[in-house]
Order: sequence, then C-alpha cells, then structure tokens
Amino acid sequence: MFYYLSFTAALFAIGVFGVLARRSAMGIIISITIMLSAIIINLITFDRFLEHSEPLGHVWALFILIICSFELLIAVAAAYLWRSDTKANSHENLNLLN
Amino acid sequence: MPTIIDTNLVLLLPELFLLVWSFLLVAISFFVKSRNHQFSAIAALCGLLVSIILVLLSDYGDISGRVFINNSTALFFKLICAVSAAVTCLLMLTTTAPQISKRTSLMYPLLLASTGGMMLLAMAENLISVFVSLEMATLPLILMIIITLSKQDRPIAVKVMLTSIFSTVLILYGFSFLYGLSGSADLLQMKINIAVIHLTHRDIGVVILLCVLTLIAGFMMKMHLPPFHGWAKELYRKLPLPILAFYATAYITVILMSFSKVFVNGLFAFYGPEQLPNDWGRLVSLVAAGAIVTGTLKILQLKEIRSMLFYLVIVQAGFALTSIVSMNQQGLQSAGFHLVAFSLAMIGAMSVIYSLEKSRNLLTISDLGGLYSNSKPLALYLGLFFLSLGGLPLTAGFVARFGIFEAAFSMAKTDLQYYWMYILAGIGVLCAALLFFYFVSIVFSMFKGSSQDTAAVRLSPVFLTVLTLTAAATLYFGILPDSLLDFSLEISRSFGFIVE
Repeated sequence: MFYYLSFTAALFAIGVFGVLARRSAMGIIISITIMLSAIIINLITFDRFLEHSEPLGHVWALFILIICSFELLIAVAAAYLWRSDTKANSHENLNLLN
Repeated sequence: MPTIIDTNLVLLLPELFLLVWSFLLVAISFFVKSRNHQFSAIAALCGLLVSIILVLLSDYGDISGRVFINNSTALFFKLICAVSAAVTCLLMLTTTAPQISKRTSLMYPLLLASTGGMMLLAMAENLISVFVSLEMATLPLILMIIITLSKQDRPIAVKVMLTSIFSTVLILYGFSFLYGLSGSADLLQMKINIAVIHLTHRDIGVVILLCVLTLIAGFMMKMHLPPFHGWAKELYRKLPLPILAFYATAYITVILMSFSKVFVNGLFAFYGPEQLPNDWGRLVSLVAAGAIVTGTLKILQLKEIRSMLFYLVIVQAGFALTSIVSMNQQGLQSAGFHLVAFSLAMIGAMSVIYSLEKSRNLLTISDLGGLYSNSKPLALYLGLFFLSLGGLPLTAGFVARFGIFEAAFSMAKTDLQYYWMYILAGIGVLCAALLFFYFVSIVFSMFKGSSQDTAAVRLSPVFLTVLTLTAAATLYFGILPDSLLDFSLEISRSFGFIVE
C-alpha cells in the first residue's frame, strides 16, 4: 500500500504544482484532473488493502467521477466562452492565488 | 446496512420539495411567454416559505443509517439558509439589474437548488454526504454567479469556477485519508476509530499532517480566507448585491459549519499541544489570526464600500474560527450565535447599500457622509447594522463577540500549554476594538453635515420590510439574547460537549 500511496501523493503534488504554475484555463483544468485521479486511486487503494466493514471507496470514487466531471465540463465551457470573446490565447493569465 | 427501503425520506421533505420546486420553476418558465420577473420571484419565495414551514414541522431522526441526521443543529443552519435565500428573493424582486431581470428563468431555480444543497449539508453526517451536498450547494451558486457576470467579467467567472473545483479537490484528498485511516465514512464512527488508531499506530503522523493541511487549505479557499483570498476580490466588486448577500451569509455559514463538523468530529484526536506537529488547533488559530488581522488592516486602509464588505466577511469568518477552535461548550454556542448575528447585520447593510447604489453613484465610504440629511430611515438602519458589525453593546454583534472571546479565554485558562489561545483572543479583542471605532466614525460621518448628492432615495415596501425585520432581530437578539443562545447551545450538545 505504501507504494500506491506514494504514487498518488506524487500525482497529487504534480497536479497542485500545475494548478499554481500554469496560467491558462485548460492547463489548470488538466492539472485538476490529475489531482482527481490521485484521489480516486487513493480511495480504491484503501478499499483494496484495508479490511473495512463497509467498502465505500468504490462508490465514493463513482460519485467523484460523476460530480467532478460535470464541474469540469462547466469550467471548460466558461473557459471556451472567455476564449471566444477575447479571440486570443495570449489574453489568458490566470492566477488562482491572486 | 440500511437499504433505500429503510430510508426515512419524510425527513428530507423540505430539501426534496425545494429541488422539485426549482425544476418546476424551470418548466413553468417555458410556458410563461413574458418571462415575468416578478412571477418567478414570488413563485420562488412561496417555495422557500413552504420549505421553511416543512423544516419547522419536521421530526428529528436519522436517514439511511446516519448518512443525514435531522437534529437541532441541522434545524438551526437550515433556517439560516432558507431565511437568507428568502431575503435574497425579496431583494431580487426589486432589482432592475439586467443581469438578474433578463435571466429569471434560471436565476431563481438555481437559488432554490443551492439552498436545497445547503440544507442537505446542514444534515450531512457522513463524508460522502458532506461531499455530495457541498457540491449541490456550490454548483448552482457558481452557475448563478457565472450567468450574472457580464461578458467583460468572463475571467472572473472562469477563476471562480476553477477555484471552486480546486478547493473541492483539496478537501477530497483530505477526506480520502480520513476514510482510509478510520475505515468508515461516518463522522461519529471516525471520531472513535481515528482515536483508537492514533493510540495503536504512532507512525501515522505524516499522513495526518498531509490530511490536515489539505483540508485547511481547501476550506480556506472556499471561504476566501488569506492567503487564498485574491480570487474573490473582483467577484465582490462585480456581483449584484442580492446574490452577494446570499453568498456572503448563507454559503460562508454552511462552509464554516461543515468545517467544524469535519475537524471537531473527524480530527478530534489531533487537537492539543501534545499532538504537535499534527495539532490542527494551532494551524486553525494561525488561519483565524491571519484572517482577523489582514481583514481589519485592509478595512482601515480601504475606501471602497464593496472591498470593505469583502474584508468584513473575512474578519467575521476569522472570529467564527476563533470560537470553533476554542473547542468547548461556549465556543460552539457562540459560533452559532455569531453566524446568526453576522448574517442579519450583513444582509441588512447590503440591502441598504443596494438601495443606495440603485439611486446614486455610491462607490466609496465617504459617499455615505451626510446620509441622514437626505434619507433619515436609511441612515438609521445602516447605522444600526454597522454598529452591530462593529460590536456595539445592546446589539446582537456585541453578544456574539463577547461569547467568542470568553470562550477563547476560558480555553486558554484550562492549561498553560494553550497559551496560544491567549494570543489569538488578544489579537481578536484588539482588532474588534479597532473595528468598533472605525464603524462608529462612519456612523458619525453619516449623521454629520449634509450629503453632496441631494437625490432622494425612495424605499419600496419590500425593502422596508426586509430592513425592519433584520433591524428588529438585531436589536432583539442584542437585548434579549437568551432564546437564541439556548437554541445555539444545541450545537454544542450535538458535538458532544454537553454530557446529559
């Protein structure tokens, strides 16, 4: 389990770095998707290796997939609208911390 | 394990009704050709009133094996959300802003859906239900914000959406570790399991630290607390005030409530100086102190009214975190009281500023000077709300501040190791005093001299009703706080701080 959790931690860290370092909306969305993958692998790992009385990790992963993909879809739509308004990618300079 | 047949769906009736009503409103808007703005507002308001009645009539109990629990705490927060949404509806009813009046077929259903999600979040007692209802509350609200913002403000819309997803993902990562450590998604079961695991496995420190850090960062981002507050600054400048009032009161309130549920229940075993470096109490105290100090200093410097409101929300969230981190009976009680007092004063102040914005060019604090000379009722109402936000005695704001600092000092007195609570409470008292004098000076300027803008402000009956009700409640809870204090004491009971 240690290797799986280390892998997901690395994946999550790459995602966080991407969100903070990238300045384009699509780049941030892709980084968030990487972070979501880390969470889903985490949940499945806990269900696989620990003997839980109620293995809810799989169900939870499904919920995350459905809800977060819907959210990401709206984010892509909003980014597309913005891009079609400004007509140029160079206008994108997003910084979520400022 | 309970099945769907065992589920006591009657307890979910107010929330289900709101969600069904929101879908009905969308369907009706296709048949009403004129897309009448007032019709949609009144229909949404009726839905909210029915939902409030259903909330008051509903029994206590758990749903589907503690996935949702309807208790007095849930009732408390459900009422805050529903009343806040009803006031937002009333304010939107009088709006002439094209962003709202042209998109009524979507605005009101989204408002109802978001309120339904917030009410579900108030009942959620399981990590999965907390996540799902948090998203049900956030998504419609973010959609509302996106469709309200104009074409020029598209970057703000994209930023809001991405920040919302990013914060959700941070919270989910923390949740996944809580689930892995405890083996259960139930918050109460988690409290017991993690305490046991903590005693038997001393080597889980890194995981807990990672979990605490991601959870704190996620919740801070949702509540736009420093240093993650940059994304919301522009939002407060551009968003119409009725929607902003809903966002700044109901949404921040339920996020604070879910924060306290996750930390006080889920991470109960990792509170206290002996848990260092995993002690979440110190980390949250640091966040609270940062929010209070940053907010107060910015408020004292800034001239814009909307920026002042933005930092005021940050300061109030910092005060609420101070009372939560006190981790005693009085702390959670005063957190509940504070959230009601703050919501009342904030909604009232935003309503007055909204009506002033409609009739004149109101941008800076100095534009409020001499308000009494041409609009006596508005000056009186705004004066009362500002004084309550500043913490004047005989207003609800004072009782809330007093309770928060008393709780923090009583926690600090329990053990010398909690000396940092003295520091936090000291910072809180100092900033509260600065804010008090700041708001008193604004109120003085409102009542002194004459306004440069002589245009009279006409108040509609709807506005007068909202202002009178919020002002009356602010004064009532300031003079006779016992009823609300007793009600908010139930929050401490549900978190296990009062043993029967």
